[in-house]
Amino acid sequence: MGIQRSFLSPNLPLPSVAVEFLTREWTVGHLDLREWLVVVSSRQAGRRLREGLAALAAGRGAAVFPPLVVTPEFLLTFGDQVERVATAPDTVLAWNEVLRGLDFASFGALFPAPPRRPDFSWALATGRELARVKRLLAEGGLGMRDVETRAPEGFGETERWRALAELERRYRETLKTHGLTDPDEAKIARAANPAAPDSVKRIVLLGVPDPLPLAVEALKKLSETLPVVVAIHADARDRDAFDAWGRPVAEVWEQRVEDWDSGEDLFFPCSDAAAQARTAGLLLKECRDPARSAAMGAADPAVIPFLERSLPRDCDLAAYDPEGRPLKAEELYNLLACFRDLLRVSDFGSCGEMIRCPVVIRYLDHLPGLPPFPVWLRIWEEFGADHLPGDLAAARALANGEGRTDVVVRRILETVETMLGQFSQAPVWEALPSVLRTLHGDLRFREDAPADRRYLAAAEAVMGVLEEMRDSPLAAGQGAAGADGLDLLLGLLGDKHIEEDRPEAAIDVQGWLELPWEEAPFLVLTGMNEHHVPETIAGDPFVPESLRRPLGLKSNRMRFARDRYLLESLMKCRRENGKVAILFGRTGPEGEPMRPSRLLMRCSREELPQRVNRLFADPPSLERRSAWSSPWRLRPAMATPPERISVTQFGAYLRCPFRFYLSNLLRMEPVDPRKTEMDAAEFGSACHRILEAFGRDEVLRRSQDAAEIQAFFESELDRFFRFRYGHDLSVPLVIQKEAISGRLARFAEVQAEERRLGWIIEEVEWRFPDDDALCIGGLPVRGVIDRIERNEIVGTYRVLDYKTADQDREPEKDHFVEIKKNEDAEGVPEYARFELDGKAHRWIGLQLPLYLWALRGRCGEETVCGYVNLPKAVTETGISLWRNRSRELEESAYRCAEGVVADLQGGVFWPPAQKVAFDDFKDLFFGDIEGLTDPSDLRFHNSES
Amino acid sequence: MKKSIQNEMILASAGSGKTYRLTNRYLRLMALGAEPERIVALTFTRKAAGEFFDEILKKLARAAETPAEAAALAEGIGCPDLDSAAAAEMLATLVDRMHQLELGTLDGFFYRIVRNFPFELGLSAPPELLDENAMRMEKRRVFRHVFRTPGQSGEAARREFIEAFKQATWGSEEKRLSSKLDRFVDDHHEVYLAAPERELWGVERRIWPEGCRWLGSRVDHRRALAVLEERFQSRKLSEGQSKAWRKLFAAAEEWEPGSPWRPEFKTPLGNALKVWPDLEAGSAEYMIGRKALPLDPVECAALRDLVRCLFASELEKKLQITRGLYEILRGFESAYADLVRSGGRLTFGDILTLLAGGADQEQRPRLSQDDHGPGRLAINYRIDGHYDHWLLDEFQDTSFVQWRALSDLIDEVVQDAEGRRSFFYVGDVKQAIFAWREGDSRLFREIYDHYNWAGGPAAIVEQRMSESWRSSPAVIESVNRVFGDHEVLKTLFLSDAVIRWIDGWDPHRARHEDRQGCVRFFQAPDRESRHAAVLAVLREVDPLVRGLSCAILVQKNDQAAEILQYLRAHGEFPVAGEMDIRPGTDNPLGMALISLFKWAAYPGDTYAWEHVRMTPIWTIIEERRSSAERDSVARGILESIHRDGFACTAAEWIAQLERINVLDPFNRERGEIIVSAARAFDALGRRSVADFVEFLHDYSLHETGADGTVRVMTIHKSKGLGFDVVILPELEGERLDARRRKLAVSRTASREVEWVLDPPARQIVEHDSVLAAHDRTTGADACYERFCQLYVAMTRAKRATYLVTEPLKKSSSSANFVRWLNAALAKGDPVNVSCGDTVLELLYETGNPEWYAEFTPPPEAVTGDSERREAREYGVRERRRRGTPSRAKPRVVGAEGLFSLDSRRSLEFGSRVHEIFSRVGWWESGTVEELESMRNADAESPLMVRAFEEVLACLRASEVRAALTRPEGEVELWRERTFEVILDEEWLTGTFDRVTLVGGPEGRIQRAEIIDFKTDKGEGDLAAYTRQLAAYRRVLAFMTGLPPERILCRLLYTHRRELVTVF
Ligand code: SF4
Repeated sequence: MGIQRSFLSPNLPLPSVAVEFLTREWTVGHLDLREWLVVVSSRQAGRRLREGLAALAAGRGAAVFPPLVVTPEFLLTFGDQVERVATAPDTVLAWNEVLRGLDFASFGALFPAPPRRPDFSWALATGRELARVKRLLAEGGLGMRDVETRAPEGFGETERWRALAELERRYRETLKTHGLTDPDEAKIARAANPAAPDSVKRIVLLGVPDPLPLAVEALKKLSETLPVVVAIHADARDRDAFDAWGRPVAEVWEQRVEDWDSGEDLFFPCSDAAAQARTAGLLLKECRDPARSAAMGAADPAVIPFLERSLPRDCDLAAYDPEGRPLKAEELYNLLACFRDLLRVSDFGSCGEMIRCPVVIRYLDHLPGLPPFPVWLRIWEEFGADHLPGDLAAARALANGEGRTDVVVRRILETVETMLGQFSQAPVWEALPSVLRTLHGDLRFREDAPADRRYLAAAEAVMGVLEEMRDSPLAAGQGAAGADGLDLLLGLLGDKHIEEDRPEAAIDVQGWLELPWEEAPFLVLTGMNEHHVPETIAGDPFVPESLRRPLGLKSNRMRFARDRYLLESLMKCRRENGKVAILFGRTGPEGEPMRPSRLLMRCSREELPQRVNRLFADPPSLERRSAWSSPWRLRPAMATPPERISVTQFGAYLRCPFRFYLSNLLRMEPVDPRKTEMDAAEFGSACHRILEAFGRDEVLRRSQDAAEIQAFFESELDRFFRFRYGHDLSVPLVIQKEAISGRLARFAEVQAEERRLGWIIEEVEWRFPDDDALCIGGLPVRGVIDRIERNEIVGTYRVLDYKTADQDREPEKDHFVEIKKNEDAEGVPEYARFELDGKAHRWIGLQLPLYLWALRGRCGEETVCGYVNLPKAVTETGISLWRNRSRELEESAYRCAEGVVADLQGGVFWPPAQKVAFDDFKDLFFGDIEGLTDPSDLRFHNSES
Repeated sequence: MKKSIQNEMILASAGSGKTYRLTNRYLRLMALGAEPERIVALTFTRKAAGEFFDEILKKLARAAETPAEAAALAEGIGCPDLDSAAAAEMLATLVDRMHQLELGTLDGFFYRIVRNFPFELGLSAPPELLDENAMRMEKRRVFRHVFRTPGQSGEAARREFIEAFKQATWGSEEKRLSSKLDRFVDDHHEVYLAAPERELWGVERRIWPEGCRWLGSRVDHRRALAVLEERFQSRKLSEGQSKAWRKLFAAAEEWEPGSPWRPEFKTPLGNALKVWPDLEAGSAEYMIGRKALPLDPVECAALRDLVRCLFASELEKKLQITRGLYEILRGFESAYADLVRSGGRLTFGDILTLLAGGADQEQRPRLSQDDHGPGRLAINYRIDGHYDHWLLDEFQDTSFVQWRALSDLIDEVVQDAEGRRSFFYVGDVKQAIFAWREGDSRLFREIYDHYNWAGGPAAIVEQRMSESWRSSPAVIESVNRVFGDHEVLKTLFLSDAVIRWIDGWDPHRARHEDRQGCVRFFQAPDRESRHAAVLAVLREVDPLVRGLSCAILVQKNDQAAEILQYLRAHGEFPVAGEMDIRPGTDNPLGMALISLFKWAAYPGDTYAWEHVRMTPIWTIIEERRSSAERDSVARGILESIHRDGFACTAAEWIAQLERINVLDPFNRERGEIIVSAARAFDALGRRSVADFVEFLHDYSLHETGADGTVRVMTIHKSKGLGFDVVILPELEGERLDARRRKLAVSRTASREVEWVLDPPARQIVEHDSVLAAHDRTTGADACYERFCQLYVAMTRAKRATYLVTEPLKKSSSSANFVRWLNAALAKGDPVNVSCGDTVLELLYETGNPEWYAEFTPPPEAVTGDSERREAREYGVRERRRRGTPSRAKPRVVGAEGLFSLDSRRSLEFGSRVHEIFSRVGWWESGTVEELESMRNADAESPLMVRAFEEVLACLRASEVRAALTRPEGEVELWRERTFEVILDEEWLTGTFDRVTLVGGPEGRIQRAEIIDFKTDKGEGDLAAYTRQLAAYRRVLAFMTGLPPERILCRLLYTHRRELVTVF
């Protein structure tokens, strides 16, 4: 029958000449092309072709019975198979089986350094790599076994390829025992013995500049029985520039000088991808009806997201990527990944991530016994923060522990664990659908809602792979359950894309190889950078360029010829009625330099220097750089007036009324989702709890025996930790526990000594009574005194507060400071100021004076007060008393307290203090609280003023 | 190659034309016939590599265009034959081979190698490069793993880890672990990688092979104290002496081995050490309380014991801490190797470690181009490159490890007997400011020496370049004064550092002798006034208006931020910071978005919530709340994040803010960056808000300044750049020999680690010969690096440098930059000069202070309306809506159907049934038998058999048989007929299952029938099927010209064997 070449005019775009070619013989009636088999380069090309045919026919009031339009792949898969062809899961599992438990010793040439952990994921990754190599070789009709014989003279890696061939043999063997054949091998076999559907009477290879070598083999075979036409989008005069299969001949295209007009508006060097997107937008704007007359190519996919963002803004057009969205970016994928993580590590944090997935939220929300969202989530969060469970088992133990009422948490845990349980009992294709059915419940997805459609498409992709997994005869033994199964699934899903609907007013952003099928007269090419066009392979662990050529695989040279030809035809067909703009970036996403494609430098020698100057000229700077500014002032909300005030809040107010407002009245408190250990407050309160228990023990608190006291501390500490954090402590908690233990051990000695000096505990955790007497300005004052002691010998009292900061603290320093000379004394309210030793001071804390005030009448004048310091340096452990106390000072403190309450009630929260020791709000105000705050709502809800 | 080419080492002072030499070398190689793809040129930053390539191209382009340029180039590269034609030829070659050139960074080169040898290096698959942020995330994962409550098996390991932690933090118990551990790993991981063997860490005999003077005495210091106390009680000490003794006594009594070293020890112990020989002799005059106290033998012995005990305990503790540290790092490292590295996720550091080998040098892979032998990685084959000529730039910044990874390759070149290959390295040891990043400028000379000993006298030729093409004579004069005044250096700094400096120093000369310029050195009392002085200088010189470039160089990033803020607030010209920014969090918008997301995911986060309420976002939430509750707004955000990703969600909220018109340009720009950062995060396929917030916190960018702005940057970033005007206002700081390292790491000449120790108190270091020697080296290295830093700063200016410092403090004697500049430049008291309307104190000046006068502002460019181009009109091509009638899947899908594998099986089943029906033409008597025999042929596949059964069952129904029977008259039958048609601008694609066309006389079609097969078991969605058939009918009507009512449309439900007429 034979092969014939046919040249389609390069002066018109490929779709129109292709349509013209196919309809040459059409005279009347509907356009019936059913006897044609048309091979095009991609599905998108096929779509364009069929649309073109339909449009042409419509012009004559006719319909089309289309030809069979296929990609070259079709020729390698059509026809009856003797053996079942392995699916993707089959092949992955087969590699896995071969690689697990490999005797590395006998594969030294391939694995000179055996892997550290040859586990499931190692096998998965390695299998993927080997499969890649195999696929690559198969394009040329080869297997790993063929490389040795075809390799060039002096080939240095013979041993290695022998090892690979052996692995390949084992792999094929594995498939074979399950009645399967490798898809690539099947294609090779098919290429030698291709088939075409009965309806087909002739074949055309239409505008495919680089058909797979295997497909060419198949066509060669088919041409024995069917006429095959190779239609080339080029001038017939250029016949020598193409081989029999329409492939550009490298020798010719390497020498060829460009023959298009490279005038003014052709090249647009841009600084980076963002600038390319912006320039593209400007160019489109210059065009009257861009949606219908312009198209865009993105040779560098990194430009696409920038186009997606800037085209709608700059020219009211959506940028549509026909490739679709990566499946990885879909909600469902993330849900599966959450399951996988949880199955792998089963920690509390991963579980938290999972229950924040919307479907899970929805499911839990309908669960009987749970309060509505977000209440249960908040309870869950608090549980985690309080108990720091390491993993789910620990969490369960804690939630179920004696005296616990964490119903919500228990319920959530049960639910999650039930779901997880399914994965350990059944293979993933059973467990997962069942879990997903449960989770999604009665949710319904509407095909006409875009978001739903994406969800549906993702779900279908997932189910498709699951089905293949189920049907894989190899899946029975391995990798089908639990995290491994999900890993396998996610791996197989990883590269898939989901098609999106094309919005009405949109510009398609197409890949380089799709562009010949684009008809729009104005073509904006972005990403025309070296390494993207032509794509260049530099190095390969198995099949580098130097090996590709002898093996007959696609090489850099062939890609160059193809792309050089493609560029020419894109330019040529727009010479008369159109225009091309070529954009490229000079820096990549990480600031790396990028070069314009060398395709753009195929001009004459004479012109080259000038061209180089043009292409490498500094791109115009489109960047704007504005000075720092804030778009708004932060306006804190109104607060609820306090019903009481605690002794420590006085200090907070004195240090900064504004921050007091934020933290005490608005109660701003951040959540640390990564919390793994106790925070400072919890650390302190743990110490308090133990000391409290000690103080309440009638016998022990009289003890003068440090060892005995310490033993008590230890057992209380154990009890406390067990209750709060369970049996299995995480490493940080063990260390914190030991830190507390160390501090208390030292204190046991201090305690014994103090006891010997006559001090006996009278009260611990003494709560201020709900007493009208303990009001200031009508506001009840609240406080808890850690310890009240009486000296049995002298009879005086001592009031103590525990401090667990890292450094030991002195009461004076916590309560007042000297007003420095350069400080604005006027800024300090009158009531907070006092004189001491002739120097101006100010109050910054009132805790101890207020303790004394609360105890007045009870303990007498000579009562002393101070701190029990439990700092990290054990040598500093001990009691530190407020030394320069005086009646006068106490009165001043009390006056100060009255002042604070009056200001508080009067709504004085402004201005803020300039400097504070620890600023919890630093991040919000960028060093300029006053400038960036709008204080107009700093007041109470019901204050009318 | 025509001429053989020398190996060269070039020591190029700042501004002496390093890039010029490098590009010339490249061109010379090419001119001599080297293939460009066989030249490898490596530098440190990708930016530099890019500029290098551009420069080569442009040089060639110029030479190709004009003969004069060609002649200049010919001379420059020493190839007189080169003319324009030859240059054009070279240019073409270079462009043709662009994709094969190896011009890049060392890191990139190594990565390429590792990527192509995964199995040889024990990696699983092609490695994945971790960036900063990804690495931090991985690290957190490793920490979580290390922290987790282990099962039985892990218990021992956990206990070990905890013990190690306690040991490493000995004496300073830690109540918080995470941050501490983080710091340990950050600070010391590198050291661990260089020295992974246990016996290098805190092992006495390695540090003191000859024995340590202090260790070994294990007497209790309290005993010694007691003796002295008793003795001194009985002696008459003066009041001062007594007080001093009490102080020491109290401190030492309280001190425990392990608690911090006490400042009280310093003087009394120091005084004891001063008279150590006397103490040993048994009679000494001991200075205490500023008065000598004669000691008798017993007292001498006791005092000696006291010192020894204290020193010994402290050292003992440090040894233990070091060992504990080692165990921690080892624990972390092995978890990291298991969880991250072995999966092929590598940092650049890991890549280097793989190639250069860790400690075990025998194990390391050897890179080679010539040799395929065992243990060799023959790189050229796998990376598609073969290199004859090596050009290494900025060589002073090369680390020893990098060099080790390369050295075998270079060795092959230098040892090449035929001299076909060459090695060229260039740099400036005076600009070695990256020692803290392991840059090792000593290599420069060592390599030279190594080859020149080994390979005859001239294996490598040395060249020194000290003529500055960049700077004015004034600038050069000041450089010579500061860096060439060896007397000043010697009096101020450690001699080792000074000697090393002098060794690399040549007096500089200015190439452009008549270039106007100046250097002025001002002093200002405090930071604020230093900044004001900067402003005054800028106003006076007015560089931007005069078309001059200008930079303000500082030592640290935060200083840059501060100056930037100051100048933006007070200046009237554009200022750009050139620094690493955190665009996620350095602006109100970013913080607000973070709070919004956190609130959505962590409903208990009142901080986030109240913050959101303070911003205009609240207005938007309020709006939404009118239709929904506040909590459902939060839920909506979570849903949006999960459905569309962080980028879309952020973009959506930014758009909302735009809608209510509250954004300003700065935050708008930041918003763009945040969205694109979020996109990068989304690409990882994660939806965790906690991860995202961390990501955004860590996300950093380097902002670069544009032309036409005053640029503020660190000295480190300014390396390699030149500016007309340079201002240095932040030279304050600590002494130059301040040690940077936290651990003492001693290395041999071949850079192998000998020992590691957490250094003890200074006093002990000073009195231990081993530690003191090591400390001196570290100090000298630190000092030298800082010389380099100032050198880089002072050599950036083309015209003028302005230095602004605070006055030297009388009290401080620390040898810092300020002291140095005062000693080298300032002579006598400052004089007042006016600078604009500000009076400044001038300490030194050279050149013409009004040098800038010759630069007059260019006349205002006439800016006409840049004509807006006419909108262009092109032809149009329609994009039609695409319809597929068969997409009659139920429009609403429930979870039951969606997530069941069986529904998918039925889909496959359906297509088989369709396929079998398409084989049935007209119903005839033999049809059943025919189908049965087909079924038997397909008996292998159960699915096929079932499908055949289904079809056969249908055929048993008389109604179905009737429908498939040939009608009377002219008839045409379509089976599985695909069509494309455009109707009302909609492009319809579909397949008729079965169509019967019945014609009348003259072949005109009279009527038609469409049958569509439905294989689903249930009712199906009749409404959808009706829509579908309506579309089919429309198409067929168009094709046949029949009025629609003549077309009968029927559904064949195969499961129910039932025909339903729809129209
Ligand atoms: S362009 Fe980016 S940010 Fe904008 S909607 Fe699309 S993905 Fe989201």
